[in-house]
Amino acid sequence: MTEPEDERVRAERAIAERFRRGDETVLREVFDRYGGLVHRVGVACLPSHHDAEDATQATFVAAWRGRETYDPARGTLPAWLLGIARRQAVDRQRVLRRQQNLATATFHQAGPGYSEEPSPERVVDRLVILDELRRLTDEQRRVVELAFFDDLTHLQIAGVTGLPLGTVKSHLRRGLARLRTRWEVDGAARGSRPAGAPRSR
Amino acid sequence: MQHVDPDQLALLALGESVDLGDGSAVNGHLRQCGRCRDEFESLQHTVDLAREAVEHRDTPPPSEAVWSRIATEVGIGLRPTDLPQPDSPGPFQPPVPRSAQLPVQLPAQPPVQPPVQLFGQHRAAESGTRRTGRRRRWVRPVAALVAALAIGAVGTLGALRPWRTDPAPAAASAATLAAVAGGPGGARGRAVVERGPGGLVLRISAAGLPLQQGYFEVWVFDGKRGMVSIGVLGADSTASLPLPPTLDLRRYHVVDISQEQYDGNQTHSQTSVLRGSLTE
Repeated sequence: MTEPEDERVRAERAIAERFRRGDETVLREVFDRYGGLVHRVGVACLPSHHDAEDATQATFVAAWRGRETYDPARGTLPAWLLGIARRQAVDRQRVLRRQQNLATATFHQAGPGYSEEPSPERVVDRLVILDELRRLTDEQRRVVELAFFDDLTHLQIAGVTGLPLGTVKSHLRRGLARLRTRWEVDGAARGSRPAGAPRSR
Repeated sequence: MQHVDPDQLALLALGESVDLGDGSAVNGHLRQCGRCRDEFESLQHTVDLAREAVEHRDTPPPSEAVWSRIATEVGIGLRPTDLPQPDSPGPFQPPVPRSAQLPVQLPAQPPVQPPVQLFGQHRAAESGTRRTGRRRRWVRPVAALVAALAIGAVGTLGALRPWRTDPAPAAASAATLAAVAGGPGGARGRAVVERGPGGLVLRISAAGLPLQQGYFEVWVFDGKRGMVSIGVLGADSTASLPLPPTLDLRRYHVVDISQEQYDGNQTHSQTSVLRGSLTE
């Protein structure tokens, strides 16, 4: 049961292939396309804009130098970049913590949902989902975003968009399942479950 | 056991309240059925992550300056695109005709006369011409000659314009020199511009350079086509090189170190081993 692929998905695969092959001209395209995603990790996890820019720079440099280790079979290019960005953020947090000589308790998040000092893992998980949202069809994305960000019920979404109720429910179910799958595959912890029983297959 | 309808699970995960009639049955089932509970919890977690992601949507993208530093550090985009890479099994290179390759070079010579004087000299020679038309015909080749001189010696005119009025660049700028993609990976170095008794000096220290029969040459590069040769490294991979007093370091802000052979060719070998941008 495969959905028809977007032009966008095709373009992204082509870019990933050129990147892996070491085509120099593609690094700028990769920066333009995924720079925002990568930069969000630093901005969310590090105290200053300078630190975030430093982390973003280090991420793309490390990615380029390690491009031969990127395996398209194991995940998308943005997911791979987010993994590097996460490690850069973690390393910098560690250094900053040491420099400031604060007790580590201040920097540990209390658990999932703690929002004051997000862990890089949590940030990456969020960004993976944000990135996958862009890959949904326009109609699917519109419905899902109305549910996520505007808190509309499926009835309200049907009213606002004029779509049949069945279509709205289908978009929500399939869209959410797709985002969940993306998180399982590309999330920071590679498929670890939230607090609760492990998922049985 | 009847499992929960997937459509309904999605709505529940989104936080919608379910019909009271269905509600207690659904909750009861979720309490008992591990499979549906897992499904529900993972969907709910996905919703939580998505809702948390809102705060990241408005983050502005990284600036052009960040790209600039990335490109410099990995050695991309600093050469004209028609220059070949140093031989290496890595990056894919489009084939390039050899003639299009050399960056503009500045030979180590006293500065060329500014074109204004040259033009003036030529005009003086044709003062005997009466007809305007003929003079115009002379003017065109002279203009072409001047233009050719300008293109051929843009390094000269750019770097050593005797009539430049900008103040000398600030001293105490420095660059970390990083290994160039395709070059010796262990190479590293530092370049510092200092003010000495005789003017500005570029001090280089490097390590991890490959042993070879030739020598290492130090250049400053404007990021496009202009390069100025500053000197060579000593046996200990260091150098203290005087900089021309009129050199515009804001323009020629990239320090490049190349591997050279004794081939009598004074142009850049195209094999860079270290590169970095000077910053305050």
